[in-house]
Amino acid sequence: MSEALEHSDAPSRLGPWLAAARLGWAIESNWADPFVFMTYQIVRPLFGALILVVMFKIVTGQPTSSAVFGQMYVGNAFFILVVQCVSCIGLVIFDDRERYQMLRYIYLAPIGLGAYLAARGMARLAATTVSILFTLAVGAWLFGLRYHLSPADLPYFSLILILGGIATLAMGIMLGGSTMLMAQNGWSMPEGVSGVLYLFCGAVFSIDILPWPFSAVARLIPWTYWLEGIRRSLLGSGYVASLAGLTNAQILLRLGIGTAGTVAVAWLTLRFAEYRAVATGKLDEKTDH
Amino acid sequence: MNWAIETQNLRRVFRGGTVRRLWRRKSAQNGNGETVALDAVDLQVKPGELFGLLGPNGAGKTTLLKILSTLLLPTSGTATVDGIDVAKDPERVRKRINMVSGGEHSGFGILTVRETIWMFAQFYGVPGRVVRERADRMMDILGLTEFAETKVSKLSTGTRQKMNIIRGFVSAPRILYLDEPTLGLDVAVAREVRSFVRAWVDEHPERSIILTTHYMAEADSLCDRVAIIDRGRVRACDTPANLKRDWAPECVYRIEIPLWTQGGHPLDDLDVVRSADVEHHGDRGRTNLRVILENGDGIGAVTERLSQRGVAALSVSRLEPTLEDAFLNLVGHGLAASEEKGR
Repeated sequence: MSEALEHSDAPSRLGPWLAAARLGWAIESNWADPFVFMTYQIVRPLFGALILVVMFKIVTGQPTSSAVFGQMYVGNAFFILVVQCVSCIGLVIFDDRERYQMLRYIYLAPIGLGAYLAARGMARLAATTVSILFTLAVGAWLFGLRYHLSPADLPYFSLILILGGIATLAMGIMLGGSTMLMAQNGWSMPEGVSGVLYLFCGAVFSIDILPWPFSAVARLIPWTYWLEGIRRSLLGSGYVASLAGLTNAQILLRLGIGTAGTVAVAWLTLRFAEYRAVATGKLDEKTDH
Repeated sequence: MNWAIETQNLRRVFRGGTVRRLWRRKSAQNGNGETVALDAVDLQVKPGELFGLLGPNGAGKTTLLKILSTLLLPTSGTATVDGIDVAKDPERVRKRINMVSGGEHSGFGILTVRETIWMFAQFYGVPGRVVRERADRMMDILGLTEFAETKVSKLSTGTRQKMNIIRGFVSAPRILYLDEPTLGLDVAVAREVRSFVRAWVDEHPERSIILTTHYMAEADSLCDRVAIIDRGRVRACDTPANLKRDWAPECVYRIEIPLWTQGGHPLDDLDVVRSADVEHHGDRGRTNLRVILENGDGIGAVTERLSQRGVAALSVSRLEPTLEDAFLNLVGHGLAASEEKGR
């Protein structure tokens, strides 16, 4: 058997994936320099949170010590992960195809496009974790938020975070896959989708205030249960009145089902987009528009 | 025989807007606005062969490579790589191939040369120790060692292309596609790349390379066999020597005469002359004629006609036929002419 086949017929699963994650980290963390990167990772989400605080005080007239404020603040802090990961993975195809002109070589490599996109998203996920932790710390320091995460809640909280992370990566892969069939000017689509999710998953406003078709969508998507689980773990109570009757286990189950559904749809979307891109010759076609 | 590559009746048609951007050759379009990029392509490439696809821009070379590398599906017909159907089992095909394209400014600028090579080797599952050995050796051969820790964004076009060459070779693929690998490179770098490619094939006799080029000399000097492709069809496929013998049987002479200022050339009404190219060198007071004759006996008639017109033949030399002569006979025009039409 040839040398190449010895390598590639049984490649290490982790090696290619780590290499792609490392590339993602290099791109995410070196867009300027580490100092500027950290400033960007901290200042931007922090000021996003501060804008929310000002809006909350003006609109509701309530103090930041109110329970609603804590729910909004935590939901907004964690939603940064969805925005960052979905936008990041959603732009990988455009960047690799148009800017770096490397998409065809990545596609031809045995790593597989799905694993590559997930690895690139993981790098952003790691970077965004810093933003979330800092925003939460500021919430405690400036606005007196108290987090009640006990060691007993830790396994539940970890499961919630992992499932939400998987769902978010899957959504990114779904959007990233579909951009294979788009010209470069579709770059804003992933950001648009994360904006829609922001409204539908109750990051700031409870899904109970949404009109019927939208509230039904909100109950189907995993991020609604993800944020509810996070709030229950960190703040000791949920945010959405209509979900109050669900136990923590039921929230976890719904999140699991929603995540599995998102992963399945993402896989199908990616496979379909790959097929269409290869059938039409768009996979490595630089659009320049 | 187990072919490295085999295509049967391969056809690819582009439709709609994509056609306009990719394929500007109106002559290849049919009445439905479709462009037939490949038509009835039958090819076999042996294991260990350095196989050339020679043709002008828009001939279908890159389309063929894209199909063979699973980047594009054929409209009809079949293509197998190492015995595996590219349309039915592309994942298995990808484990056996790699690709390098020329004329592009590709690369992740944030990574260094070594990081780029390492990353792609990882994608192919090549162990770290093997990567280091291969990368160091290849960088040494291509004169890239001093740039190993340089970020890709800082590299010149030629150096970047050398890195991409190594990226393609480092996984030691069974079949490697080189799509115009020397396009846009200066003469010295192009020569280094050609030597590297030839040496690699000689060192790895069981592996195959498919090289597309529109440089005649590159195909002639590098390839074991060459397929001449034009407007989506394979016009001939053989060794460069056989192509020249079979498709360029005429006698070609270079004749130097004093500067000819009367328009046309002094042999324009001679039956034995099939064609003649004229080059004037006013600074030297000379005109060079490149004359293709029906057969070797015609040279007597040529010198006689020059003598009748009072033109002294300052020098007469017989030229060996080139791949370009074969191409010209097969396709009916030279590469430059077809590229002009393509614009």
